[in-house]
Amino acid sequence: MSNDSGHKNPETNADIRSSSRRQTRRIVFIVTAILVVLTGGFLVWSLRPIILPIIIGTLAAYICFPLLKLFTRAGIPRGAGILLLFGSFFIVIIIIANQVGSLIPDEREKLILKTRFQYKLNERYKSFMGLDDAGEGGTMLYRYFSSDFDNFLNSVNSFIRLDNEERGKFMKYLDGYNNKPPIPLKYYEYYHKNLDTNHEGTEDKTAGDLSGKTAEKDAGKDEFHFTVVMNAFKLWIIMPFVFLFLLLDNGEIKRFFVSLVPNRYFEVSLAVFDKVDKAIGNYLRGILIECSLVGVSYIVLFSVIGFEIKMAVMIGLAAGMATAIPIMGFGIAFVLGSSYALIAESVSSIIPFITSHNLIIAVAVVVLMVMVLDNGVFQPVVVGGAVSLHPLVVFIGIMGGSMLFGFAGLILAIPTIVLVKEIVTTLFRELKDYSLI
Amino acid sequence: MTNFTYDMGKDNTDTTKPLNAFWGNIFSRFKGGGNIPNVEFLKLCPIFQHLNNRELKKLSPLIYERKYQAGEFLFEKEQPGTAMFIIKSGHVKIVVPGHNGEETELATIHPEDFLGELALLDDTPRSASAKAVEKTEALAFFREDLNELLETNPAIGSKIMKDLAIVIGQRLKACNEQLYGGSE
Repeated sequence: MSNDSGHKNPETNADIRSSSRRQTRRIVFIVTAILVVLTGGFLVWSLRPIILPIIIGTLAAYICFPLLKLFTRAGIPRGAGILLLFGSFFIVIIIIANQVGSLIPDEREKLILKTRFQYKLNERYKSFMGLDDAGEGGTMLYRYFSSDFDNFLNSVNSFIRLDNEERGKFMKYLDGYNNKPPIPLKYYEYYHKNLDTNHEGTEDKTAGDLSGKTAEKDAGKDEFHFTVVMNAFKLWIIMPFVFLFLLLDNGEIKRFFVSLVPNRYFEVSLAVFDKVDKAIGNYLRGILIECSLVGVSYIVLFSVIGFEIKMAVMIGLAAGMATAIPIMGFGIAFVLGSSYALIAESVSSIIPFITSHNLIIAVAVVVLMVMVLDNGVFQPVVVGGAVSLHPLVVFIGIMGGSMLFGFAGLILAIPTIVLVKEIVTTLFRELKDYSLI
Repeated sequence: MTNFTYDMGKDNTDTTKPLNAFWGNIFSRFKGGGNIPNVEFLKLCPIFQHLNNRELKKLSPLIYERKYQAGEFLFEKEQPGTAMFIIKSGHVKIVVPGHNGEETELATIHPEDFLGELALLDDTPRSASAKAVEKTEALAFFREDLNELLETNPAIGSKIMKDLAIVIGQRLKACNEQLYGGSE
């Protein structure tokens, strides 16, 4: 290497050229990254209505990847495995839609539920406050805070009571309407009592008049429902396609992104991709199993304490799904369970001492039991300690997600935070292992 | 750059040869390279030599193609290994960085040779660095893809593992012969 300066100059020039090429590459890379982030952000914001179907399709695909591997291992060709999973996905979606549809109360049942809820609430209030039918008497507590309690109850009543249109509908359903059986007379009595509570005795008459008007509105409403269903269909049709194309992908998406990575970070990017993929896959599958176990536990335990099976299934499904959001699942289970306990007419529990009067305590015990079961058994066994978030992060995430993206944001805030946390921690850990930072 | 030598007085090309038993592809059947499709190219690699065309086609989507400029590292010493590289074109030098920034050259890897195959077994740190001498095209095979192959296509995965074991065993034998053969 002890050459003369005539040989050194070309090397120096080559170094300068190489350094300037590196700098140009870096600038191009940074500008491209900024453009990609800005475009990505703009697209996410503009296309937010289809985010939920896309993410649900992606999650379903993620959950099915191990099944596809299992099929391949069992000798089933990949194409046939994908077809099998896609078919099963469609069947599951149809069954869920059908079952959930049958569980969701129709218009008649909603009117009955609201009527029952308002009546039972007022009845329980009177009994708890020691009031007689005329509203006289009352416990010492009531005497001190009567105006505050009454104001609170009035505001709850004004929130849940049937409006004019609903009262019209109630009167129509009372004699049987729209191929539905007549509303039992017991609920008509509740309806009347509720009207007295509302101090709106004249409403009954207007309700009768209104019944004609509401019938005219029905046709328009049906048309409106059709448009809503079609719009929802247009948005959700994307979900099965996302699911299908992700299953069909044989690593092309990953290879595309890895091809963009500079050579220096090639191996680290492979390691990060793999570890994040495994962690997210395990988290999602773990959460799915946890949600299912929690949902099933609620269904079983609520049935045991005397809930109608239909209500136990509804509350179990809602609380199970909400379990994906920490704390939220138990809150939803308690609110829905205690609301039902409030309106329960007769309780047929296999546990002898549970009656409609102490059902709310049984609900609290059930929620507590599931909470213990979830924290002590389900979470450690199926999810593991892989992903733990600070409660403040959970709270801010849920609030922020719902403010920015509505219901989709509420549901997906925590999985998104988990995803980002996993990517960032894995990336930094690997970059350190590779001595790149 | 300083070439590794047993005898500093010997010619460089001669002195690097002994360690090629460890780093070089001592199994190479084809020399010449050229612009051939990945499936055909993979056949040349001893680790995939027992795979038939159908199996190679299944393996091919798992291979990453990378292009390196002269002076770029394929991997560096002490970094955890995740992938094995097969050189498609160009040349790669196996070097060990010294304390004063100098590099000791251990071997030169030619087209159709492969390197870093131990990374297919675990992520222990690389024992040396691999640096492109000129514009180089390499094919990379990722450890986790091999693990997945073992799960989804055990027939393919086990063939690769068997050939990998043979390669490692042969390298060990060659190293032993060079070490003890040289001392006798």
